[in-house]
Amino acid sequence: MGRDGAPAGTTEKKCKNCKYWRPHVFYEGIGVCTYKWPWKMTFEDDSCEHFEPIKIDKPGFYWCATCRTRVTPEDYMYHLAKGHRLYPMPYVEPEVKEELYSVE
Amino acid sequence: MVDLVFEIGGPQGGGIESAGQIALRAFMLKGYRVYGTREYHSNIMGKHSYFNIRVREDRALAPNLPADIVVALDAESVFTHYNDVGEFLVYDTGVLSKDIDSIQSMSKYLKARVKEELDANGVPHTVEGVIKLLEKRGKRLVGVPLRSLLKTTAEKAGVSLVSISRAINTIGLAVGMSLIGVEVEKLQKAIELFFAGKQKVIKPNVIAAQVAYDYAKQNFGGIHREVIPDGPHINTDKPRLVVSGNDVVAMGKIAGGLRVQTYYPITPAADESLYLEKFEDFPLTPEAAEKLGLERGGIVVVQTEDEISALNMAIGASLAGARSATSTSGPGLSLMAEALGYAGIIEAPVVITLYMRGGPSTGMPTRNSQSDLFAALFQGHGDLPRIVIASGDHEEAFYDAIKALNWAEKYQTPVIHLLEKAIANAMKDIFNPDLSNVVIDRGKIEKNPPKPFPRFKYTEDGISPRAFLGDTVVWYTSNEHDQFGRRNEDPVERIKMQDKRLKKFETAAKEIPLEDKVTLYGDPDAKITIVGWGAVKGAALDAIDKLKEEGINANYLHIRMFMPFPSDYVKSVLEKAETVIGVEGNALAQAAQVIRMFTGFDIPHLVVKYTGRPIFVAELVESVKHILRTGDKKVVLSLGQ
Ligand SMILES: [Zn+2]
Repeated sequence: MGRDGAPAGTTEKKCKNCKYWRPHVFYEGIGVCTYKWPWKMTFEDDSCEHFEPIKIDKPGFYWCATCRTRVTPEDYMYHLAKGHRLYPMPYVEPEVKEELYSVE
Repeated sequence: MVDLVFEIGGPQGGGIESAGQIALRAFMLKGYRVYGTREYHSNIMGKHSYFNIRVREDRALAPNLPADIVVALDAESVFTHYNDVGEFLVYDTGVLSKDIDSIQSMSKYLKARVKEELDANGVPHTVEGVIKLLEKRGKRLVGVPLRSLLKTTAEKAGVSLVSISRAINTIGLAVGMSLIGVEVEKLQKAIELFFAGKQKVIKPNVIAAQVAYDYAKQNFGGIHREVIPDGPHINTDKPRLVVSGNDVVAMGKIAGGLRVQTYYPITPAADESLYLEKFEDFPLTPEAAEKLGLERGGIVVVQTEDEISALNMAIGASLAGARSATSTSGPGLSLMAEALGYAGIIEAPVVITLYMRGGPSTGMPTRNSQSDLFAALFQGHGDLPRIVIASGDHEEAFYDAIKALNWAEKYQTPVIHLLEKAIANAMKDIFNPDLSNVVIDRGKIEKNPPKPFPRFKYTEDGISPRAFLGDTVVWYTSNEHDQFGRRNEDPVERIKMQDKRLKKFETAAKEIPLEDKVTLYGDPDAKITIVGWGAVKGAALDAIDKLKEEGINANYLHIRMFMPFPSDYVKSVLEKAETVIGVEGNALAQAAQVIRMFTGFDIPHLVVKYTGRPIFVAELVESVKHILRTGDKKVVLSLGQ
């Protein structure tokens, strides 16, 4: 089961299931559509005619939006099995470095 | 009197820094003094961080809780700060169903404590559960449909909004500000000031502020807290800056004629050196240019390979005639131990600005402490006195940075200038510093040194004139030496040379005025004396005011110089009081032990905090009352996340 109770691997034509969508690295339910430049902010339940389902079917480094962490080829299956939502990468704003404190 | 606390929290990197900075400026535009404490994690992106902003009319020097308004725009912030809520919680209605166990970034220990409290109150482990609990407590809950407001903002901005985090924070901030009646124009002006020159950032955030205000007005018009009036510092012609402790020390060093700064990056010290790097080459004012016969000024800032090198390089610069300093925190000071001894025996003027974070070892790099007092006083071997000072706030830090440079050169010694993370990272408004009384005193310098030159000449006050490398030849050996710097282990000469070095500190003790060493605030005849140092000052000054309102007359003895120590004065104040309470940010009560060492006075009651968080005013007031009521010897403070 998916996070919201929808079956895992659903192809419901929503941004959250689209290969062009990147979830915001921090804020849930918000992301960016990368279908064309300039990218556009959309929300997880938005939809459009360019929808193509996301496929997470081979080992790789993914972003787990549920855990808000990067997962490795060794443990991505663990997150999928728990119904977590995996994406190739999250959306990180270019100015994030201006918002971070340097720590040494 | 307005004494307000505004807290905003969220994921580290997710716009909290900008939101806090904008809030500070908005409250300043409203005419108030501000103090913004930042808490953040050492493992960087995505972990929880927050700003606690204190807003007052006369003086804002310390954080406080509870917060009148808590803005929590993610679920973790709600779970982390619901106990901070004094009146309002602003939250995102989109995260109501979020369960605490699904938040991976949150500490399991905090989760367990929160769940225990939610269970005890019979509410679920969700944001909604927390909201129910706060309703029971009579708090005012302000749910904001964040995604909908964000969508409206994007539509109105007419651009594809990809700087999402800042807009989210602006929305939360704006709702919070509207609840206390800070005008949207002030917030928008603050946005323009903070993002000056970045039109692409300003526009969507100004729109986000308006969208949020409009929403709040339509939906929460009736639940306004009594609005805060314009503060006393509105529209005055006295300019103010908003600076961090790191910034203000750098500014003091520039004003104090610093020429070389070395450093190895370390939290929470590095920002000072990064600030100084902006002044490697700058134009002088016409008056300064004429006086110095130069067109431009500049500070050489060098990032070295480690702290061993940082202090040795600063010593080298000093011997060559440059005013020099380095800046570090506890682990860096550990590496500097050997060079500190070298500076001591060759009498090299050098300033070490030491920012205290939670130790020992790597400890808690981004958290506050006052636990490096022993290290500052005693690090290094041999009979090695040095000057050790600690600043209590941003303004003290500015002038102390200048004085430290003067004392280093005047008494030809390392000076360790202590500051806490609580000051280094806190943002505070200050009036433009008064430079009219700033003096640069370089001490005894021999401009035309003979050859050979008796660099370590025996003198009445222990201070020998120094000459710069290049003007003559001086042997700076780490061995014991004679007046010409030549290695020498003759027993009679050894006594003379060691006594000469110690004599300098007797001279310093006599010459440095008492007001630079210690200050007694409040009624000198009060029967209760609170003793503290560093950032304890802010909390203690507010505490003695609050205690007075409750009929308890206490004063505050603020120690600024630990070596040479103002023994006679401190002893006289402590002996006069009926109850003495020592307050500090370390577990050993290091200052209390130092006071006993230098005065023989044993402080009977201690209030200590070593959670890595600053001392909040409310918990200090409570601890003093607790001690007066029970006579307890020790209270350990723990407020704040
Ligand atoms: Zn996961």
